[in-house]
Amino acid sequence: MDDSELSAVDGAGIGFVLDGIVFDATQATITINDITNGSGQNVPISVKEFYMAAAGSNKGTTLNPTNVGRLAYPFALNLAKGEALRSLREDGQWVQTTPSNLSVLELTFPSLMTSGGNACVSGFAEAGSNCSSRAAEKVDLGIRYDFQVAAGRTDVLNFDIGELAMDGSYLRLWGDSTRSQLVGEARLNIYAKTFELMSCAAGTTNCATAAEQAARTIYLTNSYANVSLGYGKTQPLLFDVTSNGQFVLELPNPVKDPNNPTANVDTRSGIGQQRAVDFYANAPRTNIVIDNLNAGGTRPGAGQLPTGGYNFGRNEIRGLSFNYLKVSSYDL
Amino acid sequence: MRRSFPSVKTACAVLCAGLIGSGVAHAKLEEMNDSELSDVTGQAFINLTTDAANGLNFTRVNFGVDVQTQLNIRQLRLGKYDRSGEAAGTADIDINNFALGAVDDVTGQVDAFRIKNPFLELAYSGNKVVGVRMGFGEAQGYLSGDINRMTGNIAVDLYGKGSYLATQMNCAWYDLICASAKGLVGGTYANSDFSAQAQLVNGSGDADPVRATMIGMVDGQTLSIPSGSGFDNFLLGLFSSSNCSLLSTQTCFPLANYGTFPIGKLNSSNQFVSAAKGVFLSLQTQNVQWRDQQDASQFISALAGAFMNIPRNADGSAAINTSFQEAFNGIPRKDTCFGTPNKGC
Repeated sequence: MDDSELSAVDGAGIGFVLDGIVFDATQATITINDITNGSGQNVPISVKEFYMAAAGSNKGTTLNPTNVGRLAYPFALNLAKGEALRSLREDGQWVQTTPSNLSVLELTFPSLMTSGGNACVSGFAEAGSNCSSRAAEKVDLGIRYDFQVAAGRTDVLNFDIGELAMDGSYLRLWGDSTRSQLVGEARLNIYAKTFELMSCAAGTTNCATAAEQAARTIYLTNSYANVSLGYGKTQPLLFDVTSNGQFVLELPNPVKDPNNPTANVDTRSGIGQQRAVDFYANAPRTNIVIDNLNAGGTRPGAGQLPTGGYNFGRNEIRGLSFNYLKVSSYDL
Repeated sequence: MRRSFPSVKTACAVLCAGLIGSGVAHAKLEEMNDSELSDVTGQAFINLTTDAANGLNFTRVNFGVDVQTQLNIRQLRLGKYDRSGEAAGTADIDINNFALGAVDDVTGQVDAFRIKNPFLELAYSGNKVVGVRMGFGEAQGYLSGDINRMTGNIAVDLYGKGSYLATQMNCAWYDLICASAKGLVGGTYANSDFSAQAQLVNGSGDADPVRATMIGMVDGQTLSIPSGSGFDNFLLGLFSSSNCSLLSTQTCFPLANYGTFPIGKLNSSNQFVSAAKGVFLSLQTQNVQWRDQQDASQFISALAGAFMNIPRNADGSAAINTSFQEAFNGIPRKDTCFGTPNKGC
């Protein structure tokens, strides 16, 4: 864009796409130290075989570049009024979840759509057909962790995700003058055709052949998660760090008045009831669905259900919402 | 849709007010030098421990966090697959309108469910993961739900006065032993506190830890009077539950009758006085002996599949305590939703 074109742009935020991206750190090793065992000894964690590439990589074997996001549906960094932002409710309605009359800093993934969208998980209609990412804009992602848990013993967790999309995810932050702190709301959407966890390092003892590797693999097929934390209007996500270095994560009671949080509020009528009705109608919920979970089976082909092994079948947590949550850390 | 930037000054004013507008005094920030930074190790709330037993290796990630929550889940379903001997279409754990904690509509307060020392543990056979469990060092509060199926180890203590128990004994006119026992329970022992242990059972009084729909006394289980004499308990020991019946009293009850279970000990004022220890939820591809969190010399045997463990405490008391009256009549569900609904919100 030339200067005159640039000068015509009026605060639309920043949108960006990852064009022709392939991330190959499969030859690199990062070591994380100072996670300790019960005796206070260091348990080094090696991070290896990290890759992100076009779908169809065969668990990182073939790394091709891909585009993530596109100009019409990019990643975005926005600064907008709360009343200008919307979240997609489960019934397909766009609703405002952030408070009005304040400015919100928002980082978003490619958005969800109410019409003309694409399958979020191919061949699995239940995950929805409202993703803006097309099949070619999904990625394969993998990473391996080696935990040196004891002398002579290393636990390996090797993750490979196939056809991953995270459309509709966002993080929103703003200043809450009543609480005198930074608050926010977050939504993490994960859609994956396959998710595999192998507990050995390929090529090592008992992990050389395809059968040995299959026996040590946990397979998730057709999975999605919508993790929702916070409803800005009445239940913003609060994150605080205490003076002694501990963290406190809190989702406050949505029916309470933040100016007087200890006061009783009757939720059978009046403002208390209004807050409850609004919260249950509009606050995003958390869903975690694994259409098939299998351990030790064999996947006949890409994206197909494994056969053999132990089949845990379908597993789901649907419609999770918090009326209250407070997580406080302490030293072990 | 194109959005317009608000005034940067306005944005900064709001954001900055949130960031620095606290009424608390703020000390001047000073940068740390490299040597000071190198001394910082910020991982104290998490550590990683190992174990080995019964041919398996275990790795546990411990989280140093306290959790207080009141939550609702419309559907919790784990392990829905065909399982030999079980009805088609059922799951190992299947609960609708699951909730932890309770609410008070009048005050808008929550009665939070409390969790301490949660952990995540993997069981390895060689380098093969054969189980994973999410455990809670301590758990205390109300657990509610419409329980369709339950797999696991659920320890329950039933308690109540003889005067009430006698009213549930429906003796046939010719059953003189039953009539005599009823007279004793409702007479001599009317004010005595009776107790019985219960667990997941089928309709015949057999232990049924897989996809159970009932809870009750297994065959052979007897009543007791914990504060009674040896003679009292000797007498009671003569009578045991059989086929979900003890002295013509029903001893097995549908799980669906129980809207809410208290996890932990309640006092006479229905206030929690202690937490349940050893609660966990696990998935395993084979039967796994998980280390008992309360007694490191003991193990909890979790069956293959999804498994919920709400065990007895180290002192022998059950995590779930419920009265005979509640066992017979069911336990009303605690309100877990603000406003009009009491579940499913």
